[in-house]
Amino acid sequence: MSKVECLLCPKRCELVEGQRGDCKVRLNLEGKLKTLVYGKVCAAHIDPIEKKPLSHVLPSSRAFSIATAGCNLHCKFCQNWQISQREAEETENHDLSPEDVVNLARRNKCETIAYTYSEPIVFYEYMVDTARLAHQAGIRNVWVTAAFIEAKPLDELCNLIDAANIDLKSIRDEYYADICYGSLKPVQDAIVKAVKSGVWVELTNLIVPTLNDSDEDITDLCRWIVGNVGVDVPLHFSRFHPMYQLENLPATPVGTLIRAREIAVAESINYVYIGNVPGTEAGNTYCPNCKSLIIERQGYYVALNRVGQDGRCNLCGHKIPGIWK
Amino acid sequence: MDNKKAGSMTRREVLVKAAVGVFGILLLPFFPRVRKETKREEFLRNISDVEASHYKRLAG
Repeated sequence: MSKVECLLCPKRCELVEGQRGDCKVRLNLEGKLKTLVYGKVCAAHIDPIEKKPLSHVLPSSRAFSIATAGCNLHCKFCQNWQISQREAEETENHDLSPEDVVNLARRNKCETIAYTYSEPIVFYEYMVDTARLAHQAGIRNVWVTAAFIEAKPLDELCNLIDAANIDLKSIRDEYYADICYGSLKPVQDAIVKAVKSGVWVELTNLIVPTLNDSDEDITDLCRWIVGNVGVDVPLHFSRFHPMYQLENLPATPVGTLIRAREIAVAESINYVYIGNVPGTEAGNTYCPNCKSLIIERQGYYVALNRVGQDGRCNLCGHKIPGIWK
Repeated sequence: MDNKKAGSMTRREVLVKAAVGVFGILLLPFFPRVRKETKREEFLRNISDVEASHYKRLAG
């Protein structure tokens, strides 16, 4: 029996002939590890970049967004479980080569290709090949991920990814173990590595009532961010909606999100956003220097943008970190 | 006039039907039943030939 060990994610699944990894989409076939989802796209949409969410990347641009089935985590609150927790043959797929994806992005005037919705790590080879072609075509790559990945594949990926929104689901390892079937440390390492590699990183923390919504949890999370990647990495607090295996919990009260934002601001994080709550001012960007409103958002629509292509506040000239042209 | 009772067959009819049946059975090996491919089998037949990039073979 030829056994293989997958080295893509920290689960390092050891697979006997015919067995699939925990992600459901990598298979030991005759002693070779095969990806079952290369070019098998189960979701493709043109989204505003604000939906990823990325608030400091080419505001109001379009992201050609793709996903395949599969995920290496199994979060009980998953919003896209219909594709992430399925085997590849259970989803409705379209065959799209990397060339097809880049051509579609170009034809639809998308400035970025986003690898998103499920967990792009599990379609790593497809993402890498597409990202390489995208760069050749002058299109940037966006990675929306939980970043539960080994160091070596991440190193290679960082050369191709321009911007990433990374989930930091909690600052407690028990939460990752019990709610997501993963672990915290590899995610923290990946965040630090991505930032140090020059990938533009924004973080998302989904606040789930009773599970990770205490002041202590949020304070510790913010302190880790400030201490390890700095105050200029934007943080998005996202609202939980009852879903998948956590339908028994209520949606996150807006007050909890506002309190989380206040804690993050008090911990000196410069750019703190609230997501999944229409109509809140916490979706806007404010200049940390002159305190003025510099990007006004209504949902995913950008109503006002006072950040110049040079990445400076039009009002005071303060440098706003991000990708602006 | 046919003196056959309703619903009964003559000896000749019985023999013809039996011969047809035997002939049919003898033909079966030439027409094997085609099993319909499952969705999973069809999917696996059509996966790309791309090998995963980060793995190692284990001894034993």
